[in-house]
Amino acid sequence: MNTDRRSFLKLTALAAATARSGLALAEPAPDLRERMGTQVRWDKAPCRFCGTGCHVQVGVENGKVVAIAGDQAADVNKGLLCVKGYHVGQALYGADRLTTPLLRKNGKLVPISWEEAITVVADRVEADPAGFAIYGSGQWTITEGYAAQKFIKGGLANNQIDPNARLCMSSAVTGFLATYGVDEPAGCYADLDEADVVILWGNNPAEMHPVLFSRIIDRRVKGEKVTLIDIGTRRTRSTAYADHFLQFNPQSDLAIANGILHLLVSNGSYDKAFVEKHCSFRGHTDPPTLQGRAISFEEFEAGLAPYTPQEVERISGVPAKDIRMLADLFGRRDLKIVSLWCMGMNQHTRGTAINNLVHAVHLLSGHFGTPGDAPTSLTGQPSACGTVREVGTLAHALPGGGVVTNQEHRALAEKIWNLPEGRINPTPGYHTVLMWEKFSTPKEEGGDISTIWVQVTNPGQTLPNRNKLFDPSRKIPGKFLIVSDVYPNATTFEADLVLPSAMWVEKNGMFGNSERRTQQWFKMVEPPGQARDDCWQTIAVAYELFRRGHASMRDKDGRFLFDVAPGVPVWEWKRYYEVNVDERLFDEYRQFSRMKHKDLAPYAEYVKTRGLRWPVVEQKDGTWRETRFRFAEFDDPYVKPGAEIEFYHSVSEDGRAQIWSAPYDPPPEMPDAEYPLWLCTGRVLEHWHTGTMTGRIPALRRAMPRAYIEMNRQDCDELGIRDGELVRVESRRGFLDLPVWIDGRATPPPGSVFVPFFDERLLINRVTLEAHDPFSKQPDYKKCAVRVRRLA
Amino acid sequence: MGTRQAGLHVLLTVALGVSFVGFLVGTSPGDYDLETPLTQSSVDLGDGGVPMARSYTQMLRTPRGGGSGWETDLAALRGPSRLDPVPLEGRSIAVDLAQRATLRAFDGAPPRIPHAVRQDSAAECLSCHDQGLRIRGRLAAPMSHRELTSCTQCHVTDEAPMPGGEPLPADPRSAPNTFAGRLPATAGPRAWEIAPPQVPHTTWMRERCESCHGVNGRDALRTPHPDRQSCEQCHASSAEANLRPGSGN
Repeated sequence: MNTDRRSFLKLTALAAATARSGLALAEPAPDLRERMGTQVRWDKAPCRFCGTGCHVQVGVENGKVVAIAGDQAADVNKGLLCVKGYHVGQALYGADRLTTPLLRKNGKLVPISWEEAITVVADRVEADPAGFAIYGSGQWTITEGYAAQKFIKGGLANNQIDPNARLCMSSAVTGFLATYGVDEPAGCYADLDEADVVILWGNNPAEMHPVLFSRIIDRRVKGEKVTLIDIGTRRTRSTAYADHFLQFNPQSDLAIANGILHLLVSNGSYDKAFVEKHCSFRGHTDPPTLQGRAISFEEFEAGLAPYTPQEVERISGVPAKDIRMLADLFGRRDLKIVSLWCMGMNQHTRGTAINNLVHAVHLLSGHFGTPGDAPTSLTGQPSACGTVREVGTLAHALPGGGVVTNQEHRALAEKIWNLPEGRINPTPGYHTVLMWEKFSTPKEEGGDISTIWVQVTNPGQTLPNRNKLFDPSRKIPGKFLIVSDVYPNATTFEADLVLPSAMWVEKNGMFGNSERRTQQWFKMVEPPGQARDDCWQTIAVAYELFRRGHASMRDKDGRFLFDVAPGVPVWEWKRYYEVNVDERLFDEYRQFSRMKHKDLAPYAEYVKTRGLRWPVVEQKDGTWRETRFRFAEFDDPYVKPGAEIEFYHSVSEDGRAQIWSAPYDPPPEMPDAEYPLWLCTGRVLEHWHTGTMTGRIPALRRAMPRAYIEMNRQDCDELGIRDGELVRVESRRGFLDLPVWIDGRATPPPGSVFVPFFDERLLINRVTLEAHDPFSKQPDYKKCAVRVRRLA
Repeated sequence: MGTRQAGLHVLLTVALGVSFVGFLVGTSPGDYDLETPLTQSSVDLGDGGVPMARSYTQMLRTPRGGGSGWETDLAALRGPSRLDPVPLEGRSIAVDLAQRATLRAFDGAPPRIPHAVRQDSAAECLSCHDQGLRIRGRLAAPMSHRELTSCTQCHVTDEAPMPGGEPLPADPRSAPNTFAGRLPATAGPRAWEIAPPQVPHTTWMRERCESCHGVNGRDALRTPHPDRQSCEQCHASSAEANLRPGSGN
C-alpha cells in the first residue's frame, strides 16, 4: 500500500465519520493530484453469481482484484450489472476464507497438510468405492464438473454423482426433454428485445435476474411498448412494473395454463397451420413416464374440457376475464410473446407438468420459433446449464445429453474416455434427495452411501427438510462428509474433512448460462493460503488411487484417466498451471457435444469472445458460428432446408414437438385448520443462494442483514402480530423464529407467508417439505403448510 | 336566496377556520409537543391503538419515508443556477473525492443509498436524483447515467430496511472484508499547462457530466464554467479508462 492510498483512505474514513456527525470536514487535505489506478489490468470473466451470465471486466492491481466494470462488449448485459455483480470482486476477500485443509479430530476441525487430506479421501474411496458419492453444483465450472463426472462414471462406475441443480432446474430439464426431446431453451435473450408481451410465471426477475429484467423494462424508456404480465403468488418488485398482476393460489398455475389451452381450442384461435406442421399431442400412460404416449387432438381436447374460465377462476382465484385476456393475447398472431420462469415452476411437485403445459401454450398458439416468441426458462446458477445439463453431472446422465441406461451412449463415452468395454454402469445412481437420505440412514438399514464429497455448494443450508436428510448422518458412525469450499458455512461446520478451494478468477474456468452460451475466463489472481482448484482436487485424489493401483482410475491401456498433458504431472499442485488443464479437458469433453447437436467450438474460440451459444458450427472459411434460435430454419443450421421449424430430436421421431395434456392436481400438503398458512421460500436481490459469498460483501450484508418472514397485514392483525415482532413459524417438520416484515420487500396475500433462505443463522429448510416431482425429483420449496404464532 | 348565501358564508368561514387550526395542530385527537420530532416509537401507540395523523407543521419538520431525516429549506429548493459564480477558493479535490468515496466500494462502483427507500418500487428516486438537490448542506447527487428504470438493481441502502429482528446470534459472515478498491483519479492529464484536461475516468454509466461537475456537484469537482454544456467538445474521453478495444486492456 503506497502513501497516497493510505492518506486517501484516512481521508475517506474521516469523511465517513464527519458525514455521520454532520460536521464539516476541516482537515487540510494532502495533495493527491497524480492519477491513481493506472496500474490496473483488466480482463473478462462471467459473473460468479446467477445464471444470467453477465460478463464483467475484472480490474487487477498488485495481484488483487480492485475494481469491477460491466462489460460493454458483452451481448448478455451490454455493460450493465446488478448490485451483486458490481461487488463480485469483494466476494474473494472475506477475512475468514478457508486457507488450509481441516480434518475433524476428537470433534474439532484441525489443520492438516494437503498430502494427508488427499490420503484421507483416497482411503474413504478404497474402504467403500460403491458408497462414495460426489455432490456438486451448477457453480462447478464446466471442466470441474467434467472431471468429477469422469471420476465417478468413468472411474468408480457407481454413478453416485448428483448436483444441487437437482433442487433448482431439473423440472425445466424434464419439461424440455418431454416436449422437444432435447434439453435447453430454443430461444435466447434477444427474444426479450423483440417481445410485445412478457409473461412472468411465478417469477421475480427484478430481484433474481435484474439485468434481464432491465433489458425488458428499459425498452419503455426508449418509447417501446412492452406489456408485462405477472402471474404470481405474491406482489414483488417485478409486480411494481407489471401491467397486469394475476394472483393465483399455489399449484393452480396448472389450471391457468389449461384454461388458456381450453380457450385457444374452444375459440378456434390456436395456430392450426403451425400445429399441423410441427406438433403432435401427448398424454400420460399408467404408470406415467416422461415420454408418455401419443394421443389424438380429440383426446387432447377432451382433457381440456373441465378448464372453463369459471372453473379455472374457482381453482386458481384468477378472475375468468384475466384467463380470457391471456387466451386472447396468445390467440393473436400479430403479437410476440415470451414466457419466463424459474423456480416458481421448477420447485413444484408437478414441475414437469407445468413446464410441459407452458410449452404447450406456446406451441398450440404458434408463439414459437421467431425472435420474440419463445417459452424460456431461466436458471439460477452460473453454470447449471453449462455444467449440470450439458456435462450431465446427474445420477443418470452422460456428457452431451447421453444417459447411462443407453448402450450407445455408454459406448460413445467408453470410446472417448478410452475405457474397457462395459466399464460404465448402466444403473443410475441416487438423485439428490435419495442420496442424502441414504447418507442419513445407517448402512444396516439400507443406507449404502458412506461418504459424500461436496463440491461448490452448501447442502447444509439448501437441502429440504434438513432434520431428515442431513442431520442424522452427523451422528451415524461410518458416515464421512468431505466439503470443498471457500468459506466456513452450514456444511463445512458439520464436515469431517474440509478442503479449501480457489474461487472464480483465482482459477481458470468456464461457465454456461441460461441461453446456451458457453463462457471462458483465465486465472487472474492467486488463491489465498493453500486454497486450490476443485478440478485439481479431483485429479489429485484420482491420481492417489491410480498410484495405489486402483484399476478404476486406469483406461484400457493402463494409462491414468486424467493424464491430460503427457509429461506434465498436473496432479502435483506446483505444476498444475504448467499447462491449461481447462483447455485440455474441454477439448476432450467437446467430442461429446455432437451427439445431441449441442456442438461446442474449440476452447481457443471462447477465449476470443464473450461466449458463444451452441450449436456452434464450423463454417467453410474455418470460422465458428453460434446459433441464437434453435429449431428455426433461418438460424439453426441443423434444420432441414424448407422445414421452417424442425424439432430434430423429437420424442415422436418425426420432427415434431409434443403438446402435452396434463391435468391440475392439488399439492401434497395444503393449509388446514392446524397449519393454516402457505409458506413460500426464495431469494432476495442482495444475496445469492446461501449468502456464503454475498454475506461477506459489506454493502450487501448491510442492505439485507438478516432473514425475515413476510406476512400480510390482515393475518398479522388477526394474530395480534406487530411489524418487527419475533414470531415462530412451524410446519409438521420443524420450526424457526423470525422477525415479521409487513409491506416490506414484497407483500404476500392473506393466508400466505414468505421467508428468504440466504441466512445461515435462520435455516428455513428445517421447515420446508421434501416432496418432489415424480420425473425431475425436484423438491417443492415454494409451498407447504405452516402456522405462525407469537412468542411473547 | 339571501339566507342561503349567508349560510354558505358561515360554512366557508367555519371550514377555513377548521383547516387553519388543523394546519397548526393536526387533525388527530390528543395533545403533544409540536417541537418534538416524531419517531417510530412515539407514533406507535401499542396494542389496539392507531397511529395519529401528523400535522402539516410536523410534516414540514420531519418528512417521512424516502429521504427521512432530510430537512427541507424552502429557500434552497430553487438550487444554484448555471450562471451563478463558482467560487474557486478554499476547495479541496481530495476532501470532496474522499467524501464521494465513502459510499462506494471502489471507484466505479454504484454508490450506496445513505437513507431509507421504499422497498417495493423505485418510483421516488427521480424526484431528487434527476436534477439533483442541495438541502442544508446535504447533497442529493443527480444520477450520472441515462435514465434506467430499476434503481435498486444496482443501488442498495446502507441501512437495514426491515424493522426489529434482534436478538440474533452474531452473523458468522460479518468478519471484515479485506478488499481494497481502486481509488479515484484526482485529475485528468493535460497536453500543456492550460489545455482542457482529459476525462481521467470512464464515461460509461457516467455520461451525465453534471452529476459530479455540474451546479449540484461537490464544490471542488464543479466545473468553473457550468454554462458550457457540451463537455466532450473540449474534454476528450479516455479509451483506456473506457476499456475500449485496442487500448491495452
